Amino acid sequence: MKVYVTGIGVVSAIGLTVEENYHSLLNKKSGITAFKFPEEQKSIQAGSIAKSNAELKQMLSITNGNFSRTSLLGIIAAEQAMGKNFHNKKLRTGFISSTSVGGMDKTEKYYRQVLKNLPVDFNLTRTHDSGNTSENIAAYLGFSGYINTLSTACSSAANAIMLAARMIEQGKMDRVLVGGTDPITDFTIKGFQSLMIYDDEWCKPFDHNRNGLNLGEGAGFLLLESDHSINISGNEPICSLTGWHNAADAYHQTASSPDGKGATIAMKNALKKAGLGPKEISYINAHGTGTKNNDLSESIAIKNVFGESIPPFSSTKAYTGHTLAAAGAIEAVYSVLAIKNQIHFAGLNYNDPLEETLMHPVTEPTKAVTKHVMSNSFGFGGNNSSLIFSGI
Amino acid sequence: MPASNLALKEAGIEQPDAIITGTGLGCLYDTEKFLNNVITIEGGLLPPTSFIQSTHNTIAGQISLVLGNHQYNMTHTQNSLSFEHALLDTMLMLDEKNGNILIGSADEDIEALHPIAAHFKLNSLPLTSGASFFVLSKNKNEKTLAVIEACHTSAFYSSLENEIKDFMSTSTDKQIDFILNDGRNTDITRLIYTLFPDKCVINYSEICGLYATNSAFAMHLATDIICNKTKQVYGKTIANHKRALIINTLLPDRAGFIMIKSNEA
Repeated sequence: MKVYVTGIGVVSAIGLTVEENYHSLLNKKSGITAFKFPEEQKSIQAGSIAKSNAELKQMLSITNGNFSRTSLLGIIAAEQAMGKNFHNKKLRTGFISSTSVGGMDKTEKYYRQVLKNLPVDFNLTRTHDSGNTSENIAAYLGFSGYINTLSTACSSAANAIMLAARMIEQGKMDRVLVGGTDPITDFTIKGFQSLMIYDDEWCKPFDHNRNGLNLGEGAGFLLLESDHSINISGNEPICSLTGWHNAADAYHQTASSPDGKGATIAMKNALKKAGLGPKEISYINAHGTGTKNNDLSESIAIKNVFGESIPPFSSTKAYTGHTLAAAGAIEAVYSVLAIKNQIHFAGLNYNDPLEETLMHPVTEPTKAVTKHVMSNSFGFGGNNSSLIFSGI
Repeated sequence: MPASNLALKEAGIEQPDAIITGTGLGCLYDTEKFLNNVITIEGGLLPPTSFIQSTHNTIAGQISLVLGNHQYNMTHTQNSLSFEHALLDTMLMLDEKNGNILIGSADEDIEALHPIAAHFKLNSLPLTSGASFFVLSKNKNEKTLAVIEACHTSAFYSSLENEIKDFMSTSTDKQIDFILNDGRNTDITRLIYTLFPDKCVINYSEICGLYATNSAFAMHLATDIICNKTKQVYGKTIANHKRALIINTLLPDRAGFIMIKSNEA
């Protein structure tokens, strides 16, 4: 059973629509700028979306209701991916989202009130749980029935896409609207700072002098459909999802293994699932966060899988920032765009290769035959996932 | 962690072929601890440990670390239905490949939840913590305790009665002997007595308290009743103990169903 991608949606620091994101990628225009929360003294580099929650609500004509920023961003991307599709009793349609911190943006406000002994607004806590994030998106779009959320840190959305594909392949669902969403929060900024992997400057994925990541916010969603579903919906497939695999690195709670074991298993098995040899991959949208540890471990894993014929690869994190749970979905949308437009996107801020691997990422947007694209997402807990998208 | 070890030990499994967990609210103790530091400590670096352990997949990730396990490692977090979604993922995976899958759930009770629960009147029963783990496989062996017949979730349903009837009609074995029910909503309890007259109904939240994944406790309890052939459970007499239906209505408008039966049924 084939799994087709028929709709895509994305909101990130480089655009509020798929077109805006694509335009920024083509023009090497990053969304990472100085950012600071009102409570903080010092600004940092981050990929924030220059719209307040009130403005996002206005865009969506939401006048009341309790929505975290996480849900608002998710709704924008999910609505784009759903497009003009209507709910249809003949099609079993599922909804799977993913998030790392759920409604933490609201919980931070509540907890500040608690700690400062101010009158508390308990409604702020209603959006805390990750499940609520997804239910609000699903309810806005009229979904009911199977509504689920995965949370495996930075690989969450890739895993959600994988679960959706498996459900379609096994005939449990005809189509699934699937993606991920995360806002920038004080919690995650200070978290990555505490791990000393937050770069005070613009991040430099796969560069010898890389010094950490920049966080970003956003959401990505894809509509996946079976053959049966596209026969009824009449949707034109953009590409198909042919390979996927998740594997535990089992090395450290946050760091990736020096031999890239989990990532190697994920990529190799995704190729196996797609029935492809390593030489058939046209482009890799790497996880490439810009931390010393990730980029080295991922480079070694890519070498383990592809040997000396390494496909063109790049990370788009220097455009969007690391959008955590959403990254896998945003980058899945970029992978679909790479196939649709037959293009490899350029990495930014790259000067010198890693001494250990001497691998050079793509540094200019390059038109090239792009049949199969691999997208990597690796998360805390040693959670490694690879997806493969293929042209029709 | 002890719960997952016990489950593996009982099943005689060293390396599971997947680790799949559910958690409604994630690792609350560490999340609150780090949030507290974020808000109260000005300038300077914070200790990272609680941030590292705050992610929802800490449980599944740490199990893989301890076991040195490189298999599928997943964490579902759909509030009251997190366990059922982990179970559905497990059943899907067992349709794809053979193997022994470690599946379970955990949720924590922390002090900071209490004023919130009190405000929203969610404290008719005590808030508690709980973790339950199981090993699931497609192949029956001498250690098999029970068989999961079916599992289903539904969010934003229009009629619970129809949801229950639909679930029963799609199950291959339509007969059930006893029911495990959340039990706090009298309308729902009345509906269950109407739909299943003469069946023993156990209100499981009264036994284990309230936490987002307490239906996993209900599945453990159902397994015990089925295996031990217990006639008396918390003051209720169970005439037949081969087939159980677990109805999870912990949150309004969302329902989870699990049908579990004796491997001799």
